[in-house]
Amino acid sequence: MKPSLVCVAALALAVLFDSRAMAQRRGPVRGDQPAARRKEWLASLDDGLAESRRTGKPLMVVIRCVP
Amino acid sequence: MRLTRIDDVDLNLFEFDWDLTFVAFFLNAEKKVYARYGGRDATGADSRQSLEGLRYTMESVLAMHDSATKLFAPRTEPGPMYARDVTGWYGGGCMHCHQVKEAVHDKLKRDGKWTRDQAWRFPLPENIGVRLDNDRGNVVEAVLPDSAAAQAGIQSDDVLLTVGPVPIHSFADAQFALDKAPAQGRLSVAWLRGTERLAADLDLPRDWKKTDLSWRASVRWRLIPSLPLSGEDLSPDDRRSLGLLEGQLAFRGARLKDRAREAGLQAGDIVVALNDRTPNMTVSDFRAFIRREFLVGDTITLTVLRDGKPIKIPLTLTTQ
Repeated sequence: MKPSLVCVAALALAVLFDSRAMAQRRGPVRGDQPAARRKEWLASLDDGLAESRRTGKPLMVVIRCVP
Repeated sequence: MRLTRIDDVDLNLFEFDWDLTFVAFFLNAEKKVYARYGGRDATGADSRQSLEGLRYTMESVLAMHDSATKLFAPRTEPGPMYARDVTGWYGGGCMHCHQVKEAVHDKLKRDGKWTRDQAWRFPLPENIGVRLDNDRGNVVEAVLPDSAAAQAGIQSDDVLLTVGPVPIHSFADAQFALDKAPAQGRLSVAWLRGTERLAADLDLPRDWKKTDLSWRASVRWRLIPSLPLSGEDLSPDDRRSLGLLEGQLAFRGARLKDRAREAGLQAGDIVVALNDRTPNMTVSDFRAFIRREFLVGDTITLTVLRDGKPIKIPLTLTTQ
């Protein structure tokens, strides 16, 4: 295979895998908020701060990549 | 509560090591941060975390929350900053946290504010000489001999209270505090030994923040260099004939990339020294050493034997 074809093939594969990875991530991330609410996780910082004020308890905020 | 989108987060409030995929913050209703939990090293994503460690940090934070004299981790910048401010990314798809860091680095470079020291963010506590207990994040498990911590008198089982202005509840707090510490100079540390409160200033030498960056997605393709040649370690007979010590760096260069040839290296050159030093390592160790100890743009000097004569060849390191 010529070097230019290798580059094109590699680029195509990279784009393909990146798209697949993005799609795989997008579903769980977007689907996480209702799932998190069912488990009584809050997904809004404003809601969390309001709850902290109401209860007088400190707030634990988890930032994570994929649920 | 749980946040899964970095683009909605005030990065100056939730300031953390953006190469991580998990971090927890503890704060009060006035958005003042008590503590952080998370962190890792080059050996693995879970190398510095445990459920017991998380529980310990939560209990430590609750005790601070109930205390009459509450201590908070200071904010680096008073105002908010969002990912879109540095990346121009206004949502839609997912953004990895490390991409935020890449954008911050790019902005620093565009603004002429980038320095080499900024590559070494969130150094390990070992860099000042303490190994923290994974299950009790502010308890010193071990002190490294001859380190800054050892010289300051810190001992095993001491409990770190503050590092600089940052209260310490966890490994992540220690990393945050060390991130804010000067690249060279003095750093105040306070700790508890039994019921006795102790304090000292640590002397931080140049380059104390250097840590293995190889796991970091934000820099892997941008700052970590690759040696543009490989080769085979010399046999014991070859070493003897050239008067080289057993174990000393000595490999016959092969598989040279263009930038190695452009620097003046030739296939068959025997690499025997780096920056006038002759380390004891194999070619494999040497390649890993270059990736760990240098950054893209650094210039190293290789000493090679060619036709039995030593030649010094400067080589500016680049990415793959």
